[in-house]
Parts: sequence; structure tokens; C-alpha cells
Amino acid sequence: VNPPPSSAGPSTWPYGAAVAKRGPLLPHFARWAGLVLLLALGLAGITVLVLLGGGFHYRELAAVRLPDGTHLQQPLPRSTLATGAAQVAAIERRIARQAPPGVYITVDTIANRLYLKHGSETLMEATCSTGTGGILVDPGSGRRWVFETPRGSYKVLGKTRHPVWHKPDWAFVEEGQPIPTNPAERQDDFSLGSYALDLGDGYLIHGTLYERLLGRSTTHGCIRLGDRDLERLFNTVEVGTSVFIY
Amino acid sequence: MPQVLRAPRGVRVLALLTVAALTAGRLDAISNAREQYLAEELAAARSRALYLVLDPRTSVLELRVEGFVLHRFVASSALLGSPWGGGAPVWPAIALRLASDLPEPDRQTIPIVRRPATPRGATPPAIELAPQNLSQAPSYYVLRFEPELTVTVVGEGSVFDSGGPLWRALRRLREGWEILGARLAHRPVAPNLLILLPEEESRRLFVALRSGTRLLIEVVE
Repeated sequence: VNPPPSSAGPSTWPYGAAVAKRGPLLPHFARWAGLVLLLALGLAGITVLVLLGGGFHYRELAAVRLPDGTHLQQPLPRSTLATGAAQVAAIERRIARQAPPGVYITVDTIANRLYLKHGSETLMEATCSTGTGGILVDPGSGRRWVFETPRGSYKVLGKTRHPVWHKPDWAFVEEGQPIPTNPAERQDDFSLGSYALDLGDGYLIHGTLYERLLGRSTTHGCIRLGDRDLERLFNTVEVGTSVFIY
Repeated sequence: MPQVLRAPRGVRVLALLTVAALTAGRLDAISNAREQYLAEELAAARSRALYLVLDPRTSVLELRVEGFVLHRFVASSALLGSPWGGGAPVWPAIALRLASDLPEPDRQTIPIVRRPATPRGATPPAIELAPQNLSQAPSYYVLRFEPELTVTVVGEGSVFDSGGPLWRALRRLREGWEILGARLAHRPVAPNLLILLPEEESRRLFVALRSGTRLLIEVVE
């Protein structure tokens, strides 16, 4: 409502006078308290709604479908879909061909167990030691090494009897010794045991001087085995054997 | 007698043909899904990297390489959830990739122990490196896969164990607020796969994961 022109005088317009007399309805703090209360009530209301109907609505996996409506659990009737079945079988054969034909090795780095397998049959099971996961930092140069056994798919690239270890720099840093300039000082012909299987990138399956530590993650990344298990493994696998580390 | 069998012969034949065509279409879709799954597994097997396959029938998550099963994670419970108002949950795809950046585990720094060189032929004392402990890996974590899928792994016995009613209420509250926030910001909300594993298995799964790890949803025969 617009006020009348000023010429009419304030006495003919009672509203303005009433507002001027009323003043603030609530003290300043009370208005803020009311606002906060309203917000809190609003949030509480939304929270209740969220609790009652919000979140995710879960279903058993078996009941879930793909976007095209395909039910993943439906049996595939090969007899009625000869063409499709043939294609499926062809792909399955191709996946099967990915599998190594003979024996293969798997290494469980969490349980520190090594398995020699042929198909689904386990030929040998042994306690091993894998990488500690720790870090070594050279205080001089700042270089750092992570002692972890790499996970993934590998192959036996070479087999060695009476292996000689060419000690890398970290082996000296770890013991607080100066890094030798003479390569002969890096030769170590006893630490790796009687046999070694080379997995590449400096990682080996080898023996140990400390069989009491087998079963613990205490190595610099290589896989250590006890003497008898190592000998059996060495005599069973060939160069090219697959090694799956997980 | 059903209405269709009382209908004229032509109509009956037409109805039967329609049913057959619809059935064949559905079966074709299943066949295509199975083919797609196998093609994805072939690609994963050829990559020589570790990958995961989830069997929705049994809620078993398999760690595989080159088509081989290396480890089975048997979930106590696995549920797929869609956000409220989003209808029934739907798998976003058969093949997904881990898009989350996984945190580097806490690694112990190995102390340098100064000692004299061992005489040639003598057995040096063992350097006992502190073993990496599986308990350093988390037992509760949220993974983001692409295309859109969030995987929440909960270790049984952890503080986030979904067995308790309090945790369920808190989880529901958190999810609800997240969804509300996403809706207000016009962001899509990915379906959430909630997997409950024995605590050690949840930690072990975390250790096996790498950014880019494939997750395949098995289409079973």
C-alpha cells in the first residue's frame, strides 16, 4: 500500500504511525535464536526423511540386471542358439589358451606360501619369505629403495646352480658400509643358497641362510625358499615357466 | 481355457510366433552379454595383470591372472544399491576399471645398522627386516570404478561392520546426505556395491588392488 501524498499529512495515514510506535517485536538475540531453531528443525526434518527413505536401496546381486534388461543369472540355452554358443565356445577356448600349458608357480605374498601347480592340481606347497615392504634411504645420496615383491605375471627367465649374488648398492647402504668401486667386492657366493630362478628385474627365487625366518615378509623383494623345497622346485620347473605373484 | 487357445487359428499362430520372437530376443541379449563378458575376460587375461571377477550368483570375488584363479574372496554379504528415487539397481557395465587413487601404505623405514664386513665364507648375522603387517591395510574403504560404480568394502568386526543397527543408521544417514548433496548439485550418483568380507580378507583385497585394476561382472551360464 503506497502512503498518501505528503500534503495529506501524517494524521490521515494511521499505518505509518502504528509501525513507528511498535518498534522491534523481539530482542536481537531472540530473533537469531529463532532462526537457528528453525534451521535445526529443518535439518532434523531432512535427517528424519533421509533416515526413513534416503540412502541406497539395496538388492541381492542375483536380482540385479544389466541396462538392457539382461538377467545375468539366466542359463544360456546352447541348443537354441547354436551360432551364439559356437562363438561363446570359441572365446572360452581362446581364454583357456592363455593359460600356461604345463606346471606353473603361484606365490601368495600375504600368506608367504609358494605353490607349484599343474592345472588345478597342487604339486608342491612351501613356506617362503617375500618382501618386507619397508623403505631404505641412503643418508648420503638420498636414494631410496622399496623392498616389495612385485605382484603380477612373470616367467622363469633363467636357472642357476650355485648362484653368485652381485650385491647392489642398497646391500652396502643397509649395513652402513661404503659402496665399493671394485666389482669383485660385490660378489657373494653363499647368501642365495644352492639354486636360483631368475624372474627378471633383479628378482629371484632363491635359498636362504636363515630358514627360521621363512613364513615372514622379511626379504628385500626376492622370494626365499628352504633348501629342500628350492631343490625340488628347481628340478621341476623349466625356463619359461609362468610365475603368478599376488 | 486361456483366451489365446480359443482364438482363431491364425491369431494363435501369431501369438505363438510373437512369444517365440520375444524369447529369442531375450536369449539373444543373454548370449550377447555372455559374449561381451568373455571378450572382456580375454582382454584382461592377455593383459597379464591381476584382475577381479565377481560372480553375482555366489557373491564370490575372484582374483585372477591370465584366466587363472589366484584367490577367492568369499563375501558374507554383497548387495547392490541404487540411490533413492533411482529405481531398481542396475549394473552399469560388465567390465569396469578402478579409478580411485589408492593411498600408498605406511612403510617402515629400515634402520641402517653399521657393522663390520663379514669375513669371506662366514655366515653374516641375519638382518631381520620388520615385516610389513597386513593390519596396516584398511579393512573399510570405498573404491570408485568407471563406468560409474562405487564399491564399499567392509571388513567384518571392523568399526564399520554393517552388522550393528547403529552403523546401519549412520551409514544410511551418510549415504542419504551424500545423495542429497549430489542431487542438489545436479551430479549423478553411482550405484553402490556393498561387500562384507572377513576382516583379513578385506585387507588382503586392498593389498591386491592397483589403480586401473579391472573388475568384471561374470555373466554365467
